[in-house]
Amino acid sequence: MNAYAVQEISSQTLVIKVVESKIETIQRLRDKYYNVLLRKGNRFTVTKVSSLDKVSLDKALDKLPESRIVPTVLERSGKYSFSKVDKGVVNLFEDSSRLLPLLNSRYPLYGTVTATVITKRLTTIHGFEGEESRTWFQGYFRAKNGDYSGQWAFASSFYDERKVKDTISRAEEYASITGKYEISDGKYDVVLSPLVMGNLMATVAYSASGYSIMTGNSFLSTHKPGDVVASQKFTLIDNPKGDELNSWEFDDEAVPTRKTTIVNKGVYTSPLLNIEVGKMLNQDTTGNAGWVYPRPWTLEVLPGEVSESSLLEGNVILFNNNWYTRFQNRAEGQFSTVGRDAVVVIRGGKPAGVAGRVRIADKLGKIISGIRELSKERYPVAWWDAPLPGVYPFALVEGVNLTRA
Amino acid sequence: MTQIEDELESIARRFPFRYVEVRHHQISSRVISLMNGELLGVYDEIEGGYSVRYFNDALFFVSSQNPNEFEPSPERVMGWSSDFLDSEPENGTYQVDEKTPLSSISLEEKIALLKDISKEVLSQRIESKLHNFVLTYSESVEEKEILINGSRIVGRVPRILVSYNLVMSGNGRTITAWHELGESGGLERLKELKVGSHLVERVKSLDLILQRGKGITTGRRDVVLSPILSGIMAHESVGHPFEADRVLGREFAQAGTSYLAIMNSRKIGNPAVNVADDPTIQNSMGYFLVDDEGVKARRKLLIREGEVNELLQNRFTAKRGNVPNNGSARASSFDREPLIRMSNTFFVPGDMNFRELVEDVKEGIFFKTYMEWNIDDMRMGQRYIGLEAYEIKHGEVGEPVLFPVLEGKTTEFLSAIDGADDSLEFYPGTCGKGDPDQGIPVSMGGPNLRLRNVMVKVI
Repeated sequence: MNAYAVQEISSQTLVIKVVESKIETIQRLRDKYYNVLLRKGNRFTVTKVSSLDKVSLDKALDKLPESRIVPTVLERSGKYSFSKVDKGVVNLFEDSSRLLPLLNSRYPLYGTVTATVITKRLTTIHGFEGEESRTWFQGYFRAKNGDYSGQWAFASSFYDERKVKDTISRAEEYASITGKYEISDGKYDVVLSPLVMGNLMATVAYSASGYSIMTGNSFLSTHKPGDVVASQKFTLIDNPKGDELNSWEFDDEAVPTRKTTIVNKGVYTSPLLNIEVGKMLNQDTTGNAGWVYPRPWTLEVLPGEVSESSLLEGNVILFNNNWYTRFQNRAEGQFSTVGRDAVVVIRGGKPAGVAGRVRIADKLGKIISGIRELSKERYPVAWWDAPLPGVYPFALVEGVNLTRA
Repeated sequence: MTQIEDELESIARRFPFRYVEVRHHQISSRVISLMNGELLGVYDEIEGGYSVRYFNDALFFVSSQNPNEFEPSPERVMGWSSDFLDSEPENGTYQVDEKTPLSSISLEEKIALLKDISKEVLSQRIESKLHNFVLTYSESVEEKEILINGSRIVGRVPRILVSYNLVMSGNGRTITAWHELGESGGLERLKELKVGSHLVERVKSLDLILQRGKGITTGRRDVVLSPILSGIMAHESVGHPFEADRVLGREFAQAGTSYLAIMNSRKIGNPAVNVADDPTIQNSMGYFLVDDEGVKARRKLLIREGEVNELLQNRFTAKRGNVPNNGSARASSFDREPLIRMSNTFFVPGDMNFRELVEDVKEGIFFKTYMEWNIDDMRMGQRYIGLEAYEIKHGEVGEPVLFPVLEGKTTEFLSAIDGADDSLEFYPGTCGKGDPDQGIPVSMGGPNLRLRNVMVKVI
């Protein structure tokens, strides 16, 4: 054996599900599992088990063919410990009753609030022993006003009742926009809310994974760092060093995480890499392991210089939320995604009606190139169909192709 | 009494409520992945543990890998679910046989088999360039043991799933194609899936598309959908909206709502349309005989001759709707609550053959495979983009066409179906729902379907 690593992940989760403003379920989930990497030369296996005695050490590593991409771990020793555990979140596990009175609305309300305490431990052959604990507090709500609805989400590393209230209030605000407005297939200037940004930027970030690039499953495969791939207003960062959910101090290879700018003012700056994929692309790791598959941690789009409300001046279509993003062609970044909740047609700076479940059918590269303005205000969000946490502004994108069934 | 039975009994005693469901659930899996014929990695996983779901004026769910960690939730609330159908839970055992056990050949032999398939695919003489080919084989065994108010259900389902991703270019165009093949059973199913010949045919076909595919114009025409397309349509636009919990609003903030929540009419499509969900199909991915709430599984006819017939139900929705419970509750793993899930959803075949289906199409398109699909959260507006697609002219399937877009409303498509042939094929899928999200294995399928005069767009 010339490399091994054992990653232990234990978590405790509380999920409160709300349906029609009533509690549907209260769930308490405890989980603990180990990811074990065993490597001998260019042969390796990865095993996930709930108990280390279930790991079969024989695995006949010698008999396996050599692998093309072989996970490795940083030659780093010593103990490292980090903890950012919020007592407010921890207290919820004992009794969530203080949260329950907050879950009401002037419209029937649907959604979840989730509290998590998670601890990661990593031990490597080189003597690294890292431990890190975090708390997550997140939720999303959808308010239903007859045929209309509005949705919003929050993501926080600490307990804050205001975030729950503000999220419900924002969902209500969007749900209160009524009146139907038919639009036809065509190109429109659209404003993407932070929820939509959360969904789409995750796809940009996964496209920036070195693995996606190497296999050709990315619109960035044909680009090199230094190429202009987006509007100069657009900067996308993977930032696990902040206070946002899914921030971590070290990755699965014991590499210290760091802030990595994926796109800087429109210029493609860096893919997201681990040691082994970095080696294949002749670059250094960016601390985004994933054994074999580099992945983003937590995203950030830098703010713009204008107010959120000023983006809604003129004639635009606001997408409150979207879902079901599917790619036709990852190499070209061609996708479509369906608007959900308040897709609001703004005429002369005022809501003229709701366009219904209109679809964005375009290319990812074209969306980020078409960004004309970003708002100063940003929101940390994550929700069911955009689970990768991030902090996003509203974005005004010009000439987006919309279709309707 | 086995150790697990004993632990289930011990956990159940701590929950003195009217409805208590204790489950031990374990999934053991192995994934072997190859890139361009070289081993990418071997991944093993054993994921298992215990859960309790109980009704105490509201639904509560707790899970842990440690059977000693269970205790009732401290909260007392009146829940959205106010009651449940108190039918006697079944005692039952079901399993899918492994005629050739998954363990009957070694890991090295499996890798060698996948290498041979890869080699054959990579050696095809094609005009286009195959940039990247990832072939992933996965085998799993799902075992569950459930104790519900004294009744016991034991299930065991082994499954095989093969997925692949191809990146090809030629003639100034690029394609990224992804597809899955899979069934439940032992290694004999791998042979049945004929992965090698499927992939060779696929690569040749994609080459043809890249080299000779021609553009189309937007407009209305007749369309024939292969079982791959009819399957995804059955799943997305019939199976999902026929989940009673979704119709009632329980998934409104997650997987969405259903057009049935606002529809007043039972008529939903042409009388030629029949759609079923059937967990009892041998060797299907969604196989079970007793659901996770202890209710006997059966075939459900969701749409009968173009009319809404029945929805997928569990104990809670059946009580609310005052209808029979048809046993559709399933959980994907130990730490997930049982939800109303599809099993194997399909358009019921008709009595025509493929030739008859096509012969009176003057001008149309045959969608053989798709590259993208999506549907709105009400399950009404939907879109499928053909990858392998061919023109139909004067009753004959002809030249390849480039990426036609079938976009329209569910009711429009179901009303446009006027014929189904007598074939029936199934394809595997992983169906998402709930929060925490749970992906569950399903099959989806159908015959070749003919739709008259529907809108086909271009990208």
